[in-house]
Amino acid sequence: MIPDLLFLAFSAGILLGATLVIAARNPMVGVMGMILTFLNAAGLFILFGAEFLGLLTIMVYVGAIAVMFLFVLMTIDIDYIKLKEGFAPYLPAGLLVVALLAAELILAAAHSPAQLTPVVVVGQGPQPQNVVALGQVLFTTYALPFQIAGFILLTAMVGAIVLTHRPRNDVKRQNVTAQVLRKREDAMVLTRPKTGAGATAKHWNPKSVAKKVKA
Amino acid sequence: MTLPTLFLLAPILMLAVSCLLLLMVGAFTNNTRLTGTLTMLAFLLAACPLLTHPGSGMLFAAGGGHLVSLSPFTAMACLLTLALAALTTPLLFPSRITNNESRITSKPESFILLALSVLGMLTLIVASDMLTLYMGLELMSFPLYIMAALARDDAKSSEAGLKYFVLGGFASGLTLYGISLLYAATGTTSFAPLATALAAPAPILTVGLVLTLLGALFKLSMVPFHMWTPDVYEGAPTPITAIMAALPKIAAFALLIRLTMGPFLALAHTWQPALAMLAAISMLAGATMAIVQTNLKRLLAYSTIANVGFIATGVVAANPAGQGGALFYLAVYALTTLGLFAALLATGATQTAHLKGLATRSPLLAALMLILLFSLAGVPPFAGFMAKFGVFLAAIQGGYTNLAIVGVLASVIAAFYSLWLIKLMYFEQPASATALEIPAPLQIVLAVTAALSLILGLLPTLLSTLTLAAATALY
Repeated sequence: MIPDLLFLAFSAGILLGATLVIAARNPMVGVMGMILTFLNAAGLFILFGAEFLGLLTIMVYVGAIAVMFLFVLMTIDIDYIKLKEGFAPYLPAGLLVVALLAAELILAAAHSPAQLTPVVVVGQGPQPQNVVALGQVLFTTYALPFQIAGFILLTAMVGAIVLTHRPRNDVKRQNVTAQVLRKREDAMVLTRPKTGAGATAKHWNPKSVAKKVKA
Repeated sequence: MTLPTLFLLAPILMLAVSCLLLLMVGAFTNNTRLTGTLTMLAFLLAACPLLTHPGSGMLFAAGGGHLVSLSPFTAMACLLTLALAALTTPLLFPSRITNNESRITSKPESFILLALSVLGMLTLIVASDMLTLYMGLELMSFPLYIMAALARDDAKSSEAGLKYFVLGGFASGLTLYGISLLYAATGTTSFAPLATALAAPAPILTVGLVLTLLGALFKLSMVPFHMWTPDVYEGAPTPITAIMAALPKIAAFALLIRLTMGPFLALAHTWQPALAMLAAISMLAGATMAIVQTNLKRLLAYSTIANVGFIATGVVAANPAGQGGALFYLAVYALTTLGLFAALLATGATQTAHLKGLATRSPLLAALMLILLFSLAGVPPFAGFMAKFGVFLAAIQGGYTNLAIVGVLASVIAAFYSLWLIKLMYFEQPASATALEIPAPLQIVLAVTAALSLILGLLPTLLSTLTLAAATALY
């Protein structure tokens, strides 16, 4: 009974948030709607016994992605009204596609054999088991997809650098190795002139001073 | 898992390690030529175990099936991918006579991204679990999105990268959704258990099947999912377009064949007519739209769409001749496309009008382009003819005579733009009479592709027996 009510509440929250994302006039409100969607999705995950996935959703989607969205929205100057232009002509086509997809999915779900994967509701076992289960298979059974995921992240890193890094030749850089390896002999010349035989110091008259004097 | 079974994965593991080493070489030397040469070597080295120790087997048992399965078919597809990847590397090389475009793409990073993308393609080809499939699909796509936007100061290139990324991400999302529906209905993501579970049809399975195949069809730019192709091809730097046009198509078709012959075989009555329809529309739309293009890259994009339709004809036939023919066609198509893009790079032409009188400016380049265009049009002594012949024959054997008829009609339409380009090159006056100098790396690509187009046309059995044997191993 209570899980059912919770399920309904979370699902309603997801739908509300998703509607807000599309319908909100102010993109900030839209991002807030997105956060609402993520939080409710996390609730659903936890309800179905996938507590790790739920927490991950909150950490990654709310904590990282939605916050980044907010930062971007706050930093850039966009005309919100202009963004919404041309929304209306596409609305019927969009609604049609959504209606078709929804009808397809509802039909598919209604006419399916009843033994869809059984719904697991919270309260299995004394301790959260997801992390243990994931840890057991992530580096053994699923080592290959895990490594491939690592390569995808490497690609993202290379890509971010390729697309944003500009070599600048007009900037002087510190060369630590050269600095550390510099010896006394490279930097200065020691002379031992006899007393009285050294060069006589000329009058110090740098250009900047000379100019001022002229002026 | 013992070491000898792991050896089956040698090409993928070798390429993965090479990616990391290349990254180090690229970062520390910043030498494009060195990184490029090493990348080419890495592709060729990774192909060696496939040639010397071809084996088949299943690896990484998980969820009632296996994550990876190797067969003569995957070996053939991997070989084709690696060989063509090695052939694409010269396009990214810096040369003395370069235009602005190739200066942007000849960076060490381009080669590393190419190697990463090829790693994804190999993973995609050998995947026998939806999880591996999805990882491979993403690893194949991401470097391509980045490479499309490499010319970041050019608005069109940025647009191409963004468009490819957003639409590709959307397609991957739908694929993932399809996979999750299949998982919801059957409780497994592995190909072998899926094949048995799908024997009992249900609407949810059909939706899952459609959405899952969508990812592959998007990468192939089959007609309803083709809208990105002309824009992305036009915007991306030409060497990158060549890579995008040739390599991912092999991997995506290998995936389509493995999916349709593996887990989705029981649902053949669902996907076969649908795929036949898409193939027919792709052929006709691609061929007709290509005629009206004035931009050469857009023209080749529509030509790709048409060719993908022809190749899909072989997949629809669902017999060894069809799938073998599709592999053979893929090899020929990729060679021809690479050659044509290399020719575009060599001439620096962007509009069809720029090709006017090419024969007087550079007779050799015009002759090589002539061979490639004849092969593209399917004129008999060249490889394109044997490829088209193979898939149409297979379609008739598979009971899809109508599709074969549409295919022949479409190839007649498609012959128009090839012949028109030839007419421009040979029978028109050039705007400027300056002789063209072809950079050495492009000379290699042009010579190899044109020679292979001729050799495979005269002696098609050199490759077609191999592809037929590979496809027969699927059954």
